[in-house]
Amino acid sequence: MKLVQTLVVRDEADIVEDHIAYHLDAGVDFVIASDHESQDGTTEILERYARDGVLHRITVHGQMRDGPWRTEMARLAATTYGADWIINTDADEFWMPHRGSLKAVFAAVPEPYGVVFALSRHFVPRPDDGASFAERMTARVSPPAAINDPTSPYRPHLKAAHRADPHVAISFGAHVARSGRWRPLHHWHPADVLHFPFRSLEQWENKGVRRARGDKPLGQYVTAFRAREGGRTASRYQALVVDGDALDRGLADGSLAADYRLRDALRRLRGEPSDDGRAGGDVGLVAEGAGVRDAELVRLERRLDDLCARMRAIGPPARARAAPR
Amino acid sequence: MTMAGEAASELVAASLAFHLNAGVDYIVVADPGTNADVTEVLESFSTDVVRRLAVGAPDLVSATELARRATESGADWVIPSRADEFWWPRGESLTDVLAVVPPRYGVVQALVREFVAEGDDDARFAEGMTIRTSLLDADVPPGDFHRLLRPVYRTQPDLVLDDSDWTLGGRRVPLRAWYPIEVFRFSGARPDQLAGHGTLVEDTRLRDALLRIREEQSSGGRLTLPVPTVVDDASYAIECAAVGEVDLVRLDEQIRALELRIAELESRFWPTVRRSLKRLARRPG
Repeated sequence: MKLVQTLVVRDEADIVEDHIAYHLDAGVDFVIASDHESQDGTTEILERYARDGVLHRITVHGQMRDGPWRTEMARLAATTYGADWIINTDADEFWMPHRGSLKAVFAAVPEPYGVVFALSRHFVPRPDDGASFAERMTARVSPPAAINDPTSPYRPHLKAAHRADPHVAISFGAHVARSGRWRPLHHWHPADVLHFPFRSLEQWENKGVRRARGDKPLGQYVTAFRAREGGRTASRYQALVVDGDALDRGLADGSLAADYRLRDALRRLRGEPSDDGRAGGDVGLVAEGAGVRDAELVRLERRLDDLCARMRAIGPPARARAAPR
Repeated sequence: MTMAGEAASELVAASLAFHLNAGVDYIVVADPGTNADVTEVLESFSTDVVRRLAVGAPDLVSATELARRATESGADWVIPSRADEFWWPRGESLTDVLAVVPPRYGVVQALVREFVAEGDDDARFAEGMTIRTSLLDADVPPGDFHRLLRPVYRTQPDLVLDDSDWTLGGRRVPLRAWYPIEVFRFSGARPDQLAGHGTLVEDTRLRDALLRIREEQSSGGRLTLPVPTVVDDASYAIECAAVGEVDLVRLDEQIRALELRIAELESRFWPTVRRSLKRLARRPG
């Protein structure tokens, strides 16, 4: 089996090296990366992997076009790079199977199923003590109920992996892969996507300001943008950071969970002592799986509201039109 | 913000001060003139920020009329408040919270917190009233959920407010399942009158904010409210999930309405097609 990874990246030099090294070690055979005008050293990291023959870098310009770029890369993986399976990633995401390897997970999927979904596990920013993000960020959100705030970075969601298909279409954020050939396998999440969206003040500000002007300005990005416009960046970021007191409170009430899996995996890659028996991946897994389904229902509900509004705009039902004046 | 209903003058004064500090730019208040102290409070504020609208009786001016007066100031959102309510943003300010609501939503819903009356001293309502309802571990009857939510409207031309249908028959899209504002209500209710509103917990946020407003007014500062942590949000999500029951009922009604509408369109579609085909068939050549 050949496993190809697609990646959309811009100015994430603080994490992209670990990201690529981790996935190549976890079973990915080849990476296709859309490099969106990076200027912070990300391009040089990608080029180094390209010279090693394990990465194809595509330069993309202009306004962010997340879905179309991902779709183009996923199709390229099928047509040019001989992929059997494809995972679609951001630089702050790390695909980690619950058991075995990534390839073993995908090999276990019977045809005609060909789209599977990993559960995103969101890690919270911790105070910056100079250590790398993976050493500091070892707590993740594990809410007993879905946080359905449309402006929250911690809304439950899934990420799609799929069998190769030259006509596949990937959505914004790679939450959905639409294929005419392969059926989606819902409600089975054989892998986690360990997600590290906000890692430092500078990274939060840059990402937010940039994405607030992008093709889908999510509330979390608009928040960062407004904070900068109002000169409140530091205080607003500080409100996101989980300090020692909040960590203790969250671990005690179960809304946060300690999770050392990525830290240990990266330590292993560096040849350092790693497994201290506190991995923590299973904590909250069932509740978070249920939370994703609840959140999907809420999204359907919101889409239904949109449809109703559009129907109303077309005109009132005939009964209303025929009513006596 | 619009403000209607009646409350003690001290409560009205605190409410105006709080909301103007929490991001409200302009408040239109319907004043029935039955309490001279309240009128005096209203007139003590600059007309640039508080406009007193003398009305014969509280219900003689409609919510829509009040909202229209408020939007004359160029508002983006309108909060239709009652005199005994404090609208608490889950963010730095009401402006901050509403500014990031995605544009598709025309209504944001706020979660009502009923504060329990302790003693008879109205003058110390916020300092003394720090016990409120919570939906954590609550067993709220499904029929009572609608009482737990209040709407905030994005302004639009010809804004219409309908308290029985915030969505105007589905034309205005509400943000469901998340309530970025809490409504602290000081109606003077006793614990035994709040059956169906959840369990009781201590909450000193408003008391602390009002104390800060008093301190900072003397020092010339401006109030910045605390942004909830992700741990706070996780706890709040449980309460939002409990309220979500009301959305399931609405969902069922919406699907039924859509089914009826589609059936109606289908019933008109095929006869139209048949008539068109017959006309085509009758054409010469």
